[in-house]
Amino acid sequence: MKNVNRIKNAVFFTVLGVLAAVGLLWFARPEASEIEKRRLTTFPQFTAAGLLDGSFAGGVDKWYADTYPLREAFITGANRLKALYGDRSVQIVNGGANRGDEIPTVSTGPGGETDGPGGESGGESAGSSLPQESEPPVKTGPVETEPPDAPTESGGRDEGPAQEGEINGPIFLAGDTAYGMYYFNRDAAERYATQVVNRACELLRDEAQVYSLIVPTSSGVILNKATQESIGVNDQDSAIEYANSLMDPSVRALNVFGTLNAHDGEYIYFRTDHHWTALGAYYAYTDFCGAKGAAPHALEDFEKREYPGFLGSFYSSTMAKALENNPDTVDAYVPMGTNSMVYADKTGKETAWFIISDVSGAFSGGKYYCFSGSDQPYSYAHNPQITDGSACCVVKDSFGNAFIPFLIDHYEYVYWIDFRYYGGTLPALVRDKGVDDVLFCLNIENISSDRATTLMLRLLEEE
Amino acid sequence: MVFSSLLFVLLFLPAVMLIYSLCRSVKAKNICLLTASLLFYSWASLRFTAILLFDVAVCWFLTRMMEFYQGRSRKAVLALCVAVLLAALCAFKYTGFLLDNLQRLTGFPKAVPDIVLPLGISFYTFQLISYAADVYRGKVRAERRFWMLLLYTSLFFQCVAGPIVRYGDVAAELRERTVTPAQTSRGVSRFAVGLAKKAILANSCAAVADAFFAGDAAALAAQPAMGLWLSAFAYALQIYLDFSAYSDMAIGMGLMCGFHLTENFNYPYVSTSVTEFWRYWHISLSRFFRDYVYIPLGGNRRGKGRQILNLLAVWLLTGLWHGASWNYILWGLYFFVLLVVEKMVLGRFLEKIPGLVRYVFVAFAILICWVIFRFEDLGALWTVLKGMFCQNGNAFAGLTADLALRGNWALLLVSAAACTPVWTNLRQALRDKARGSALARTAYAVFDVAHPALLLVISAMALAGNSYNPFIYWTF
Repeated sequence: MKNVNRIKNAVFFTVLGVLAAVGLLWFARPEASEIEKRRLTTFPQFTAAGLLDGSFAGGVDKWYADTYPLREAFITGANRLKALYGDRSVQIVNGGANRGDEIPTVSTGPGGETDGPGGESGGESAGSSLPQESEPPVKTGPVETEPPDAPTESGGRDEGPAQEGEINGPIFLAGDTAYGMYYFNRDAAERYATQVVNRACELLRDEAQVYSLIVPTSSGVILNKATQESIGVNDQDSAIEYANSLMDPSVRALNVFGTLNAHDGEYIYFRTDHHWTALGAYYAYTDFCGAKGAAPHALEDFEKREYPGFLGSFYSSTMAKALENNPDTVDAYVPMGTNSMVYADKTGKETAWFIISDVSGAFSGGKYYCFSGSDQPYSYAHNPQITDGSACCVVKDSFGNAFIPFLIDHYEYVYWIDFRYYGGTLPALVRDKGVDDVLFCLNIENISSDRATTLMLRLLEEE
Repeated sequence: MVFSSLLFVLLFLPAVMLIYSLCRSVKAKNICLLTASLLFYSWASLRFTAILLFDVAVCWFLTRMMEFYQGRSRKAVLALCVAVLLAALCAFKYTGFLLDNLQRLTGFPKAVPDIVLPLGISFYTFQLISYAADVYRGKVRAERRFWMLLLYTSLFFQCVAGPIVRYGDVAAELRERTVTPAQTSRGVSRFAVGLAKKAILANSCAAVADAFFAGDAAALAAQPAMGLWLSAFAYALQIYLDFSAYSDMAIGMGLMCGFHLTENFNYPYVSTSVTEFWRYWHISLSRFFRDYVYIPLGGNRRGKGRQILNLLAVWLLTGLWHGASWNYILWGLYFFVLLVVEKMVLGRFLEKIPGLVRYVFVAFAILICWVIFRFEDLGALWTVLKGMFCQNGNAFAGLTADLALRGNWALLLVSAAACTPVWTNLRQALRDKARGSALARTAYAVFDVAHPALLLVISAMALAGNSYNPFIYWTF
């Protein structure tokens, strides 16, 4: 027994010592996590105040855990362990206790009214008619934007532009498909419609036509109503319709929910990632063309590229084996007029790039970066096949990236700015570049985020 | 730094154990422990360390003074010591609560200051009070060396979350102690089991508890009853596994360093009465209130009326000790009522009720108690209590509750089993069986040798990525 005790102590302290020694290998500490798509915590700067209030020590704590050399292997192991907790083939990950705000009902017929801000009637909407559903009372949804100091990743075989990830809120995982859970935020939706879109319309009244395209996410389009109700998410069609109803009549407010819903059996959303596919973006593009009065190009007209092996943000968040075993394929359609673009990074440095870049050599989580140079503050493309001087500016988040390639063949110039990182103002850009059309192309999570919609206000600040 | 952080487990602890093992004399070991303890404590904030040093200095000085006085003067010195210690505790813990309530009643003051509670102040204040009271009673001699009293108070294993160790229990070991391989072996097992309870089970149960408890009042009102009961169950498991894990780790590290700390839990969830529950839950706190509040107030020696008053005082204080919020006071009163009913109304009739019925009643009472404990917002608490009994207009079950149960049934089962003596009994049975044959002995020895290291690795895996991972009792 004595020997057993000695051996036991020796084994325990040896294992402890080895793990401690691994932690001391400072050169082996990673700086970024590929699977999480983020830069890991850096060692905190020492200050006397930080020492006094404990923030320095807290920073060391976080740094040590975040950059421990075996961390990724540990996390993988921990997720394998969690698979033993029960039947997790269908589950809600990252919370799910939230509830969204009640969506005010909107009438679209003559004399229709909305109980929106001030109780005034809403503007004309280019979208479909609304279900008159109301949801249980509220709580705000998750914030979907990333801080501008998010990590950078290589975009593919070439040295790609800096990319920035997004944070997932609660996720509904059903078999090999995950869905982001959507919670309506009335304040944010009203801010987007009235203070962002309407304000842009007012500032650009005689200069550009303003469009708004709120992109629904997969949970709203793919899941049936009963499932949506049972997991406590809000109806995205109603949410979009409500936001659109608050917009100025001269804004062309699209609701592509119905169009996407009509194709819900097709591959219009990724299963392992929160984005839509290029096919989903294409269907929305046909709606945009309808609103603009242009003829959409047929999908077959574009050169199609395929990038298989995509494990997106839902996989990073859930580490679900079912997703890992069934990765997505990113299909991309190369514009006919040009595949060249230029992006400017945060420093303003311009780099020539590709509207559809080759990501076949990219890591499994980076395949969506093939679109439009991804989330750069400012980008543009010149289509030499069109010489009428037409120009469009897209105010977008990462959902816009898959949409922009389809616009290239309709304008001589397409500019796109990411509202999270662009430092200038929209009116200045529109005037400077002679933009004809301004399109807000944002996913519904961003119009349900106080932080995101507040950030958008910066684009319209007086100069 | 918390016990369940990678920095503590994989850097602080091995470094301290290595240096400690290299120290030859007890004095050197004590200096090592004191340095480590002050570093551990200061990690949260140097300001907190100043408060700790102040409390210990006051207590050390006044208890030394006590030796020169007798009778009323001695009592006055004790009263002064207790008053200073409680004043420090109240200033940090209850000022905000009092001002907040004053503001609600009178509008004054305009702004309620946000006072940060020094780490573990509730625990070490009670340790110092028990020490001063024991010196006053002549149970222990006043410590002559300030740094030894500081070591007793700041020992990093138990300073911030207990057990509330009495000076008399460790005084001898502070001066002379030995560490045997058998003792270290027990400590290693205890520490590893505690770490696994916290890192693997408690943290996972917390996620299930949050699944239906984490929203605001409006979200809570929309949750199905089954989800709320599931969260209540998971929270009850979490709070025991979390807190008892802390004690396990403290006791385990104590054993590795030659200390025998007070046991703090003895499977309270298998109790068949509320009285029994409190006999086995947070034992060191119950003992403190019994010996330093209830009995000095007269206990049950001055008639039923006085006894009820004494119990009321004890349970109000117990509630307040757990937190400066009305729900903790309500929580204390809840137990006061249950205990009074048990002691004075049911009496011996309780013993005639079948054990299973009593167990079900106690389990129900405990689930409700943790719901009260969880929600500081009384509106949210009421919403949840109504929701648990289907009074919020929701269906009893729902997809979300169904998914949470299906996805966590094995976790909840193992966690529930970890709250009972089943593992201890199983291990004992295996050990007994192993005596029969050499092969079985070897198999058991392999298990005994491997399990702490294995639990350590799995716990480290579970902890990875938890950059924010506080204990529930951390700020108490």
